[in-house]
Amino acid sequence: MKKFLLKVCLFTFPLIILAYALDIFISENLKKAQVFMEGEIGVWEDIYNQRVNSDVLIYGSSRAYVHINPIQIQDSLQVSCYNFGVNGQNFRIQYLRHLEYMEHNPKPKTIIVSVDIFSLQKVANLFNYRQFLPYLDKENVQKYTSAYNGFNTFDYYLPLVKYYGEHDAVKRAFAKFDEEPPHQQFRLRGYHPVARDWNTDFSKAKTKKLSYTLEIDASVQQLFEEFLTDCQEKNIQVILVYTPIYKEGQQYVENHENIVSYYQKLANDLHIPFLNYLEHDICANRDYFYNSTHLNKKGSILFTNILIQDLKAKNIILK
Amino acid sequence: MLFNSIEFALFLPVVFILYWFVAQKNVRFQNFFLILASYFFYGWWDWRFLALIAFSSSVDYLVGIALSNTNNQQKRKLLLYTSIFVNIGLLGFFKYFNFFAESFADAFTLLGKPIETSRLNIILPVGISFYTFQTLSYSIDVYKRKLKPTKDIISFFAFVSFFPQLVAGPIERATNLLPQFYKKRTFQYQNAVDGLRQILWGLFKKIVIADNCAELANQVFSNYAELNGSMLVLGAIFFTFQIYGDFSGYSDIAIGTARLFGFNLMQNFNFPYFSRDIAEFWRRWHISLSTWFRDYVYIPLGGSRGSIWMQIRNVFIIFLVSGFWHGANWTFLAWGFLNACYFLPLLLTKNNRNHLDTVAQGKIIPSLKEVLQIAITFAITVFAWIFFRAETMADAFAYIGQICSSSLFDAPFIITEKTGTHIFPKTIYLLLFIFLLIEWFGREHKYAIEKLGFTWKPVFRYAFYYAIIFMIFWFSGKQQEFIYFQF
Repeated sequence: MKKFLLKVCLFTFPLIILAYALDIFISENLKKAQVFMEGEIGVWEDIYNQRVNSDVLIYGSSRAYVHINPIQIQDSLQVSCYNFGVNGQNFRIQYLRHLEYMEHNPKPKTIIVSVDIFSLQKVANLFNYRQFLPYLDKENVQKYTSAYNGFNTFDYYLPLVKYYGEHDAVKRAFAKFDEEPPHQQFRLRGYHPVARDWNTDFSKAKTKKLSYTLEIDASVQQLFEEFLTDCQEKNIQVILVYTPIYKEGQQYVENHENIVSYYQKLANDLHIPFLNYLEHDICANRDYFYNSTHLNKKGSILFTNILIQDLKAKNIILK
Repeated sequence: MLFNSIEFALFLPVVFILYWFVAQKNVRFQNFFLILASYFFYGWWDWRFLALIAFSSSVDYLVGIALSNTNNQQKRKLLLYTSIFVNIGLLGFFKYFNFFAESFADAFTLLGKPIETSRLNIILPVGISFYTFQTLSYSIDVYKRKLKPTKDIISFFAFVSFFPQLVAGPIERATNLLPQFYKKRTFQYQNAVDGLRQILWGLFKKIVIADNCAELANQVFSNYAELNGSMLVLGAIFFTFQIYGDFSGYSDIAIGTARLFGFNLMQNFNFPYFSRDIAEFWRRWHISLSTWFRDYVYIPLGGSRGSIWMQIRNVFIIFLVSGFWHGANWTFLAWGFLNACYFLPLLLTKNNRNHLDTVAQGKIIPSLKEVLQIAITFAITVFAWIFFRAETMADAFAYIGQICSSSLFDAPFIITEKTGTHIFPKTIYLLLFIFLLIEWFGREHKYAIEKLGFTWKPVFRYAFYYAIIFMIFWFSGKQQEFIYFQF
């Protein structure tokens, strides 16, 4: 038995060392693949490497990062701005970005939160989970990603386990990065304009289901409220913005009005500005959308201008 | 708990250490510990069905004791029927209830009198087809006085629930496995090393071969209507390797794991795709099930004795029952029927026992005749697997119809959305080639790498094992459940 155990140990020891080494190698190289996962890794890297350094931050889902152009805000309002929109995530992962930002960067003056029907939605699976692969050793990442189906305990603590079966990520880690475009070409200070015309996503969705009710995640809702009060305590200005949704798309979600009322009430209670664009003319024009919930490039440039004008007109100061 | 999961990778060493260091005291303690480990292993999937295993074990344990206490033939028969009724009843309820209810309704609809039947939302307990057959074999053997019934309840429960082979076999006979629970196991270095080697090869078969073939086979079978005939042939071949890698890989891991604990399980696969005719194939494929049906169904029916009609009847019964064992679907019955049709001519011409040895025994290269025989057997096996893999009979016929179209002679191709895998078909062909080469050179052993590298310097042998581990990591496909879990 002793001989057997000794041989097993001798056999597995180099494997364990190799597993740790490979894990580090893949993770470190994956961080360089900044356009991986729709440029999300690039945004994470900007956060962890203190490259954000902004007065104004924009939080939200994909609807934030395709709708609000931080460069326009910078130019018009003379403040530095970065868009932290993260594709397909509810507020929990948006909050994770906030926490990581606060830990590695100076406090922002203003946070514009793009709120919508999906911000507080109950979500089971961790969308685009591969963006977290190089960061699973971080405490906050572990805490907030573990609320979804995506990683298991072994992924967080055992070397290389998280990369098992992840061909795209591993292959990317072994690729030459010199040939990759910098992520700024993909996400301009987090912003990603989509130059597309109206597509068939909405009609496809309608053929599947005529309408649906969104289930709200109470824990995410609580987290959102805590975030708002925490920002107030830290003297960070928060602005809630409900960015445009195509008119017909608004009727698609049955409890849409309840969700909007919730944000309005919350804003009133906490004395936070709430800019709601659901009734704006832009929502009636398909030319500005590529699907019912996302503005295209033309729409996002127009919308950012409208937002800037409103911030100025309503005297909501971003300084 | 899947054999190819991290959970099992942690479970196995913990149980191994506890078994050899803590539970080493005596045989009862060893067996008791194995029951605990096995129930934990099974309960990880769904603890509610542990009661089912315990119930099945209890019934056959009590039937065995009762059989030993009476010589009254009528009473003995009644006891045997009790065991059969309980085990087949459980299987029938969990596995076949909905099938019979639907088929019954379909039959009435065909007769022009549609009836309403209720469909139950039944979860099929993993491994039920395996452990019910195992316990059933115990009762039958005791009834036939081939085996002395055990009074040792701990050994019996450990025999039924033994985790390496609990959920997908090999379906062990009580005559082979149960006596191993009576003796205290002592650690054997060679057995343990051999067990680890077999586990490694099983993981390679499952993760590298089966899972990668599965991705391609699934793509083809899900989109067969849009693909050309040549691609469908490739899809069927990929499934042929998937099911072999999957199930024989599982069996290798099961046998290897059992060896780590001092048990010898029966060989379940013996290089079936190198068979020279279908009779040889069935002596080499899922051996534990084939021999189970042979011993408990085919021979009691008369086997190959009696009139020609009796022989034909028996062959069809055995293959149809075997097909039906796999699942409640007409496709499995068609698969069984097809194999019966393949087998029957060999039986009737008394050519079913022509190839009892290993192909090209002692030689490196087979003769041209052997190559042709293997190719033909392989081709008809691939054809039968189409029925096994198809969701419905209509799908199977449509799939075959598409193969028989003129597109069979077009170059195979498939257009899919990005699947997240980096393995191009070229890589899978290379992996299959390496796999077949290793299997070919190891075909005279219990598993392909049993003796591979024994004459090499240790450094090269270790490098070979590391290479397998590397391939398991690098070429791992999307983790798929073992196919036979559903049976």
